[in-house]
Amino acid sequence: MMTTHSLVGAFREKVREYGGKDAVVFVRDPDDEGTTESWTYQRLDTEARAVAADLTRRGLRNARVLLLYPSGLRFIAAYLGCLYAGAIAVPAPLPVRSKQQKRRITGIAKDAAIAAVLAQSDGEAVIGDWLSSDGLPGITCVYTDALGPAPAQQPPAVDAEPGDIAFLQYTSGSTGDPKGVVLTQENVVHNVGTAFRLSGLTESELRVVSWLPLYHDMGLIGAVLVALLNGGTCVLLDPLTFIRRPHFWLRAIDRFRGTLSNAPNFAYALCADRIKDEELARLDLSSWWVTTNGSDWLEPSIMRRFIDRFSACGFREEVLCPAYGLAEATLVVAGRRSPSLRVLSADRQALDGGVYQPAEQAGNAKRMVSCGPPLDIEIEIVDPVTSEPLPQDHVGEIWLRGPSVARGYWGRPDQTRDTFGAMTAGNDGPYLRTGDLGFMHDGELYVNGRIKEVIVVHGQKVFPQDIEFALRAEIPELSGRGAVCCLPRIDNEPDKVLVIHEVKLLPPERLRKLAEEAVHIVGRDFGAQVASMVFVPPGRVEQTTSGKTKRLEMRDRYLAGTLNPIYEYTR
Amino acid sequence: MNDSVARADADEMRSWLAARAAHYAKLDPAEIDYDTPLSQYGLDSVSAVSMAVDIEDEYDVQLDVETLWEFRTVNLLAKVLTTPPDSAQPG
Repeated sequence: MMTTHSLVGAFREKVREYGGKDAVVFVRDPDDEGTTESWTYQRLDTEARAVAADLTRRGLRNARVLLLYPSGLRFIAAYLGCLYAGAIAVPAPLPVRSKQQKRRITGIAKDAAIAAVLAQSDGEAVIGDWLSSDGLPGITCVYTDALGPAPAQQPPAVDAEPGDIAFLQYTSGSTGDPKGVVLTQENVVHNVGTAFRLSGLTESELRVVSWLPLYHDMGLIGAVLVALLNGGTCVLLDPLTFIRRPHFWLRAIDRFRGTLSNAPNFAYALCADRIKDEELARLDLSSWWVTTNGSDWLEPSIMRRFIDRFSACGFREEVLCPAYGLAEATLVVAGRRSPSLRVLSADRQALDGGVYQPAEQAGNAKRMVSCGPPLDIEIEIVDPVTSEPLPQDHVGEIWLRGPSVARGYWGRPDQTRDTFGAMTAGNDGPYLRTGDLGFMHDGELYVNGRIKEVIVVHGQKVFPQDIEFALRAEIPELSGRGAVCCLPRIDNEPDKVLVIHEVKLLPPERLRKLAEEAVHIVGRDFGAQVASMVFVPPGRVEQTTSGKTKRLEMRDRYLAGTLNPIYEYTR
Repeated sequence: MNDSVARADADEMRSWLAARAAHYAKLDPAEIDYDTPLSQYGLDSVSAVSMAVDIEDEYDVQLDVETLWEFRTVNLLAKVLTTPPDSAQPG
């Protein structure tokens, strides 16, 4: 049990308690012990002190420090070193790969007004290139693997107050408009405690296995900090290692007897599709206790495929833990691990009218997976237009209040006030507006879409992802993703729908037939008029890093004429 | 470049590449045109990595994903895999 409200205090408690135990383990190939590197709690503390001593010497207390590392032990030492020195860590991916990626990191560096970059010396070339090409002069680069040991007479670690900033999490906002969520010491310590209790594990049982990126809240908070602040061991793989060899993830769980390992939807699908029978035959997943799926919405069909494929290896359905969360509330908001998924069969028409009712006919049912009860946080479902709180079973915006709600967006008082300072019609607040829609039923949260993307048809709400899902279900040629949005309103005309969807390469006459079919389905099942049906090549429909489709951005691109469709059908 | 690759029959390699691409696109291999970029069949960031790993396992050649995006058709890929490094150019 943690007794302090600072990250450093909580971690140092575990260093005293578990000094010789493995804290972090980095695995390249789970079948080759020679590729494994591990640091004990004691060693990690020593490495973090060396980083902190250097940051302190450079006078970087309270300065923003960009962390550009591949997944691995050095990142964790640098992150803790920032906390020890009272510097504000800003984790980000390495500026490799696409120009898009470099632009995003440059945007983060400028928004946070960083004073220094911490990195590994093997990243010197790419980081040097990026700093000089993107016009970021005067930024100090510290390669932490080349630092000497911390001096014996080192200033003590900063003892932070609960309200002090712990770090900035840049996973919100678009590439052109990155928003850094300001997380306090209390936010992180509180939410890590919540996530640990959700797992149902004890400290001695806590063996985390994760390939999730460490610059992402699910990797850093949900895996690393959950392990380190609770005396567990965190086994890390590089994200690309998992994409290349999905069975390495499951082999690592097997070899290290992992108990907690989280992933988004696509990871379970990739395992079910790519892991070969001979790899499956020697997998033992019986140690796996909990896997939190924090995707936009948990896809029951993917989870079913995963269970069917891996139950022979000892994977149990009760390990699945659907959850809801967002960076603005640190990470976890709601979740529940239970013997089987709790699924409601909701009447579509009623739901479109804003109310949950059990479906009477199967053909009119929408299957909705419960995200569980709120965890140490207050959820209020609120009418997004009138700000009136809504009763159970009514769909509204999810508003949150509690110690996990972040302080705001770095350097953005207006957006912070709009998002974090919401008041109900009865002047109760402040609440965090999540922009997500959902309802409460029997004390559990059901998520049903995002607010600004809602389409209103004859006074009824239609959710874009429902149209996208229906189209894909009925038209197999529609591969990949779709973005359904509402076109800007013209006078008193009803909302008109724009359907953008990825499609396999097909002759133009087939595309014309598909477009006609899609328009027919949207009209028949949702009552909406499709103004434009646009087909784009696979990969064109963009998502945020947490897997949410950027529908409004796709719409803007269409309106600006920069979408370059391969086929367009307009009424 | 590995000897086994140099000896590999180019036609066989092309049909193997098309079969892998068809597998990830969930299409029939006959639907893959050898001069059409694989991205048009739904190759994405994840399946591109999978395809690079398949090539590595089959031909013992380490191919980074950037190469796969650059040499984007079956014909171009077969060419780069059977040509010594430095002399292959995207068409």
